[in-house]
Order: sequence, then C-alpha cells, then structure tokens
Amino acid sequence: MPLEFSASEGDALGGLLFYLESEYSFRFEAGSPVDLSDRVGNGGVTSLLIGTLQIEVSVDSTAILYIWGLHPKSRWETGPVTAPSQEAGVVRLSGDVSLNRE
Amino acid sequence: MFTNDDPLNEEDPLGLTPEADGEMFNELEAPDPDGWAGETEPEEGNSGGNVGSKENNNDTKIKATELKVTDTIQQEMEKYVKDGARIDRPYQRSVLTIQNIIDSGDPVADPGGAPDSVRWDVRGYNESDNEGTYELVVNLKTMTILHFGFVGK
Repeated sequence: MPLEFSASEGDALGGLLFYLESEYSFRFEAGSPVDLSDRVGNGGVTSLLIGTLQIEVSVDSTAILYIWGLHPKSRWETGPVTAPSQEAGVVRLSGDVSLNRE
Repeated sequence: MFTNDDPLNEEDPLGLTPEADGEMFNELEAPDPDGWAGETEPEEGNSGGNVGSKENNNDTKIKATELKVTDTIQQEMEKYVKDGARIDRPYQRSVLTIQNIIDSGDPVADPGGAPDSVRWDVRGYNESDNEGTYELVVNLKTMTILHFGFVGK
C-alpha cells in the first residue's frame, strides 16, 4: 500500500542532525527532549524504513519526527544537489494508516 | 539452534539466566523452537519457514553478550525512557533474541555496504505478537551492532 503524507503549518521539531562516520549512521539530537516527548505522546514510536535508514514516526499522531540510523557513506554518490524550497511545518502520514509500536 | 529435541526446555546456549543478566531478560520466556527469533512463538500451524532451522550447523562464534551497540542506537534506546514510563523496541534489550538471530543461520555480507559487517534477516514475532522480520547488522571488526530493527509484516 503506498503511503501518503500531508504537510501542515506548525513548529518544526528543533534539533541537530549529523552523520557519524565511525558508525556509518545518522543521528538526531532534539533541541528539547520535552518537546520531543510531547510530540511522541503515550503511544510510542515506530519507523518507516528506507533500507536501514529510519524515519521515526509518532504512533499516536503519525507525525514524522526525525531520521536516524545506518546509512553507509561508501554507497553514497557524489554530485551536485539543489536544495528544495522549504518552510517550517509538520508532516504526517495521512490516509487509512494504522501504526504499531515495534 | 538447539542441541536436543526439547528446545523449550533447553538451557540458554550461553548459560545465561534471568538472574545473571538483570533486566535484559525481564520479558523473556523459553527460547523459541524452529529458529523463530523474538519473544513469542509462531501461531499453531505456522511452520516458521526454514530460516534458522535447528538443523542449521552454524556454530555460535558470536556471542550476543560480547556485542556492543553504536552510540546512535544506544541513544535511541534511552531517548524515551527517562521518565521510566515506556520502553520502545524492547527486543533491542534482549540478549537472548539477539543470540537466537545470530544462531539462526549464516549471515550475508552487509548489502548496505557497511565495511567488515554482516547481516541477518530472521522471521519472528515481537513482544506484541506481530509477525515480521528481525534485521541485525553487526560489524565484526568492532563487534558492534550497527542496526537492529523489527519490520512488521
């Protein structure tokens, strides 16, 4: 089943995303653990996977929180990248989606 | 995975006990038969496939108790438990689940390209009785778990 996403206005989750070469992984550190905890709610988290790269999702709200996980740099391709236009907001899974904690 | 015909009563292959390993074993039951990883057994009538069958001759060369996890995984494991109210992905804390995955069969070189690393994909159930696949990637040089996830069906 294809997944659908919707974007809405709102405050983005603040934090720092960085890549650890020694772990071949992305890591996200939330600017405010309290804000993150509020966004997660009581239902916990689960992930959408792109290979081993994990898109963390709140089970209760279906809001996309951040990415993290294994993504070996050795498979990256070098090339020019044009940053897309962007604005702060919240992205959620939409449609008939039922998430379970892992 | 098991050395006799009574896997449910088989002792932990590493000689580990709940008392010896503290909270890592809090939610564990007897090892799963037929190579199923995780905390629960497959439903009746479900053979569990042939992944990690007990006929597998894979010697246990990697001991789960000797593996570390990356700081990234460790951070994710601790991120939401500071209030002690909830533990997400509890299987990541189960040494026995990790050992069952390792013992289920020979891994493959990590297709994702992590150097010196191997990967297991093993069918099983999680603590919520959801069927899926455990994914485990281990760097053999540093004996570190780089990726450990459960993908629901």
